[in-house]
Amino acid sequence: MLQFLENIFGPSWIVSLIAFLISTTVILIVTPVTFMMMTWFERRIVARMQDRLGPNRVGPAGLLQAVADGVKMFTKENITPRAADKWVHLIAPLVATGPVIFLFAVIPWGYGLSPVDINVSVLFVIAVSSISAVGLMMGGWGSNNKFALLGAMRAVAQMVSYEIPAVIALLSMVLFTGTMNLNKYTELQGGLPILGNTLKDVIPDLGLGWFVFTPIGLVGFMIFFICILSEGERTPFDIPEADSEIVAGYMTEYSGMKFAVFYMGQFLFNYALSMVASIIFLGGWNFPGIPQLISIAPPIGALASAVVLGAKAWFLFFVMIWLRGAFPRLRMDQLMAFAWKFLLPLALINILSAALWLTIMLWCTGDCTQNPWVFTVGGINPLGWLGNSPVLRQLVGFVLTAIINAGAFFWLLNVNRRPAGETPADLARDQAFGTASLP
Amino acid sequence: MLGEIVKGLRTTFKYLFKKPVTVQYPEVKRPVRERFRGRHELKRFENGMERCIGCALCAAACPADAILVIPGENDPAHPNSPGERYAATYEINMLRCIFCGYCEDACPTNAIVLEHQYELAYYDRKSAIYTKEMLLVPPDKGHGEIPPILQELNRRPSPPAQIDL
Repeated sequence: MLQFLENIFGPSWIVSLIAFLISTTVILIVTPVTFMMMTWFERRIVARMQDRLGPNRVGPAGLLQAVADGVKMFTKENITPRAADKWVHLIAPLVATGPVIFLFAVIPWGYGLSPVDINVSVLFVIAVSSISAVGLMMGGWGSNNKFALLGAMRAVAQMVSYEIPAVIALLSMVLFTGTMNLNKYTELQGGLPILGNTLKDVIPDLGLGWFVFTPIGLVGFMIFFICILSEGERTPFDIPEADSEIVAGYMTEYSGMKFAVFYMGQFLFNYALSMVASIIFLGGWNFPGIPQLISIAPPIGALASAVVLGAKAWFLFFVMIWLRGAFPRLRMDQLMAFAWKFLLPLALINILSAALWLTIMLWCTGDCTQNPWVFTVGGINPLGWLGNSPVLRQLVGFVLTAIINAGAFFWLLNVNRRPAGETPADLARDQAFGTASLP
Repeated sequence: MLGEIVKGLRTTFKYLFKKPVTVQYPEVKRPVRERFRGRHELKRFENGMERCIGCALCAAACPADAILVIPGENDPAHPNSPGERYAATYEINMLRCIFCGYCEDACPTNAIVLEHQYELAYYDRKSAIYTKEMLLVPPDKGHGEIPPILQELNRRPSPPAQIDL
């Protein structure tokens, strides 16, 4: 938007101001509408999985259900407990939801549709998304309610633990691509699966070089997606607001619009992180035909790219709903064990894989004397036999990282099968005393 | 572990394309069973006369004491019912009624029948009392006629009268 207006009116502070105001307005309109559509979509899909119809009374197919809910939320009494810390109680939903809407400022919605194009948008996403945890803790603490506090503590513990594997998964992708700019990720994921853009001159750009087709991207995507589920409190990990256990977690003392704002923050967080996952791992707006469309007619291409990216993000949201329809909730200790004993080691091994891939790709390519990657063993370049062909190097890297990642995955799966130190004899004793942990 | 995950996801995905079992209630009403005990109706003979003779046996049989019958003497010129008396007042308090059907059993003329209407909702207690005008079937929709919902289903109506005077 800024570029567009500057091209017409020339650069000036007032043009920048107007451009950013327009972007802000668009974001503040689009995100709540997205939230409304998400609630409708989730309720309909989960209902169909449970042999029900879901909301179908308000508007065609119940599409306006969210509007009715909004009216209900607005007209509800706004309760603040007498013993609550009034200001903290009031500000908490804003602190939880505001950062989530910040996220949409750096996420490119499509080709050239990035509200603010900053160079370190991945870092921005990680940093800003962590602020929400503060809002949750404020909500739990400010309510002066032990259930709310317990819920908030669970929520914050969960978010903090799952941020680590998520960040490391993103870090492996940053290492892999060498950029933190979300706009660049899409350019890097054109071409063919696995090979990417290396055969650009021979085969037209199919827009299918998604990182999820590489071993590093696949493992990174799995880790990141699981972490999204946890950070957005989606079902296998919805312990903070487990409705059957602790009332509504940190939202216990919230009603009316304050509750709705919390809820919106949660849903938009899911959507924002789904978009980030689509951009980084699922090829952004790359799809067969889209790169050509962008080069022929940029405005139509931009629109089509936004549709494709939105479809990918909505697909990920659908998978979240699907998981909600299929699986029960984890226990708190299972949740923590999964993050620290499975996801974190896997993410660390994935970083090693990414480094190995990078080494294979860059080791003494081009002019060896000029290259900083010159390193020989006994006067012989150990990777010299690969030559300068990126295709060959990529295939070798693919095979090696695939072996490492698959091995690590199955090894960790096997290691985590039993609680540590639990032999069959221990298990038998535990069962005899009735203290066996659940399978 | 992965096998179980895939199995669970496949099951829910399969259900996504199944037809939901929901019945859209106010628009679509499931037919009730033949012997369903819903709101009472006071039936008539085929000649249009009221079956109820005001004997108040139903009120006596009612375990919830929901029925009030005040009999009146028939005008010999224009009798409401065959015999000497008829029900001048016939009221059922639907909040007290437990739909047990004892009144049906007690009735010597099969005048009172628990029919198939089950949408009984009121805004106040007073409107829960159904008077004779509300309970009595119109003359042209007398006893012999099959109710429309049963006609659609090709079912037989509530048990016919055993005594015809």
